[in-house]
Amino acid sequence: MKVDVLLFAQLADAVGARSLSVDMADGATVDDVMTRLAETHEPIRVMRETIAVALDERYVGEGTRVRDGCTLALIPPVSGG
Amino acid sequence: MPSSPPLLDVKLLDHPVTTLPFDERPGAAGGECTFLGRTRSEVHPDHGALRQLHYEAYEPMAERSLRTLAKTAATEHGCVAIRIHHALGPVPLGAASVLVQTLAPHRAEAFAACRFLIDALKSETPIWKREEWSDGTTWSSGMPVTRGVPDS
Repeated sequence: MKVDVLLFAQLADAVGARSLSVDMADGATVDDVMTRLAETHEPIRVMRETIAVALDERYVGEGTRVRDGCTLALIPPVSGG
Repeated sequence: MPSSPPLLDVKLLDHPVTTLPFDERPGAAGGECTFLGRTRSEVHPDHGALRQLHYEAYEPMAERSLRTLAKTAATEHGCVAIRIHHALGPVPLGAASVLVQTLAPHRAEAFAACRFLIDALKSETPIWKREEWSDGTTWSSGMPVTRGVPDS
């Protein structure tokens, strides 16, 4: 199944892209997606502990299962205000 | 508790924000608190003087986050009106990037709601600030989001 991934701010700059797409096996979790992305993108591996993940615009834990066609947003440390 | 639903005015704007009066001011509102966050001058040891800040957001989620926080503040502090405006794009020195305005029956609730909203916004709303110096740019180190994230 296909999962779309959005990147922002310092993380997007470090990766050099604002969006990615990954193919995952059925039953994959957010943790599985992050592990895959960390293998292929060094900045995600380095920053992983500081990244929160949102599934379809809501924060989720890493055990959450992803669905075909869903959008995961990787949220680096926030600095609004 | 207010008898009618609270007025909520939550927006992301493509320019610096300014204070605004509430068009409707329910009679139950005795305390109004306004917070403006402005770009302050700073000097970076390597990049020189700050020229401006530049904000970006995951816009649909940021709007949802701010609206959820406004509803929470209204419920927990009995506010009759809440306004949160946040700028995206460039915000020059001295200009304001964020406006939080709370209207409640008494000052204690208005202050508490305003404090809650700016603190929560800064810790969980997906907005980011890039610092543009006279010689280079940096991203604000920011705050990793832990609040509002489920354990699993």
